[in-house]
Amino acid sequence: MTHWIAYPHKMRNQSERDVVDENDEWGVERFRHVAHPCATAPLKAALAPALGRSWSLVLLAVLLLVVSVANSDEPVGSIQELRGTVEVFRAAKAIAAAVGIFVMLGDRIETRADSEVTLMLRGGTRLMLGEDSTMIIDRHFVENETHIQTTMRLLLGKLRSWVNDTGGGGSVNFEVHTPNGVAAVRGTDFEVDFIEGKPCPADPSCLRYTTVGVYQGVVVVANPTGPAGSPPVTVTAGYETTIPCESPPTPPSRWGAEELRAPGYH
Amino acid sequence: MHHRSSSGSALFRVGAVIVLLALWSGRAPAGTGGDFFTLQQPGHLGLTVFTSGFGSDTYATTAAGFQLEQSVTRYVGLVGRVSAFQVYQGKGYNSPFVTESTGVRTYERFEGGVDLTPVSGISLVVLGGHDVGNSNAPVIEGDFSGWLFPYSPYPLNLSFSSTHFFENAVTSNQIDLRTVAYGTARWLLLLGGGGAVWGGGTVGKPNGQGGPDVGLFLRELHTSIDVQSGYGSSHLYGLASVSVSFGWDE
Repeated sequence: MTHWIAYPHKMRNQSERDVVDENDEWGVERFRHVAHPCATAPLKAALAPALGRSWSLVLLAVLLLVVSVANSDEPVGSIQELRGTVEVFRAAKAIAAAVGIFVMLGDRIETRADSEVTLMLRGGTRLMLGEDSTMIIDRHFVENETHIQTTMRLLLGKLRSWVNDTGGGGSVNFEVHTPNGVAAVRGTDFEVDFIEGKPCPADPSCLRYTTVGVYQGVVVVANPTGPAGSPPVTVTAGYETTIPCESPPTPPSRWGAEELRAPGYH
Repeated sequence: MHHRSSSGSALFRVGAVIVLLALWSGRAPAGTGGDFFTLQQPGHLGLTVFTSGFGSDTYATTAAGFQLEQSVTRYVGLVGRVSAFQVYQGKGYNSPFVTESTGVRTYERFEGGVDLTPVSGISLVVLGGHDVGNSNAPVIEGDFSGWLFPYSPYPLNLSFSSTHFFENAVTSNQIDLRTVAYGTARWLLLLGGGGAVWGGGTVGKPNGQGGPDVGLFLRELHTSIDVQSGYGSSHLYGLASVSVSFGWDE
């Protein structure tokens, strides 16, 4: 059985993705499109000769909306644990978050202070969104519980991910995007932070940065907004990397060492 | 006056070490550009709670307290520290007393100053304050901590602390060099060595002690546990300390 749910920015060059506002890749309010190009292209081709141009466009828009709504109903997972105040925004409407409710593709999930939420996705991947954080699941594709492709955006705050490696018998492509970083993994446990308004430890002149720390496994980290040709960094368990603004990721360093100061003699 | 000069000299040496470490560490320089005086927005308030104990057959003391740190700019913060000390017997590396303690003596220390972060990963705290209680005199202190080779599997931490007690005119210096010997995502094991050298005032010639350090840092709990054992002027000794940090963005 295949649960497809396609998505977003990777498909923006497809003709079927016209509901997406291309002016704001990270503007979640505008990110409404849910459709699969393979499902709509034959319809579009078949209807065009039979109808006038304007009517065909109107009909196409209606069909896209129907397909879109149908696909939006496909849950990508559910809320497993919840603490504090958590809001789910679906089609610009706020939904009361509660344990057990489904999470749909494109839902924007926001946590407030002293709050966190844990999601269980189809395929067994678990996500924990920390306090004062915002995320969107853009893409989640599960085939036979063995081939899993997931892409999500962390707009602010902290996201920890336990990625199901399917027992080694399948393939997993799991990516977390922040405004200035991409962490791609398979079968691992890691944490991504995107922080705005605070000096980056690796470059205090930068006030917008991503950190990636790895609990288990290996994570490849890159900055797509960085200088062309800057190589990705491979981060192993117990290490972290920082991506300051448009700079490449720093070399991995011991996770937490910067917090250490002198031993207490006082 | 002489003792003020020796303390000033110690701080000057710390400054020189900072410059050298900045060159070695490869960290981003913090003082570039014209933003040195720009207020940090949002600000950050940090709280560290600490306790420690030292024991040998000639000197025994415990301490506990807390430190508040408020960011001002990216490179400068304000620090306030309140400590309570108990000296159970004898004289040692951090005793401000003129005579040896034969019973329990207690005093509180109130300090304030600045935390300078000239280079990422390097900090210098300069404090001045006053003892109240069985010790009743001013004190000045400088605490330095810096990392070398931060991107290697075994980064080195050098820490140096110098305190001058006006009560007995003694200057005490502690130094430690540690490396992350092993680490996971949740904790770091630090191994190294360190010790103390103190003298002047009522102590006279320099005294010293030193030995190996073992430290455990629990990253998610922001908790450091350090133990040291060694030998020196206080004979065989043991030192243990625990500190926990908290922080809030404003």
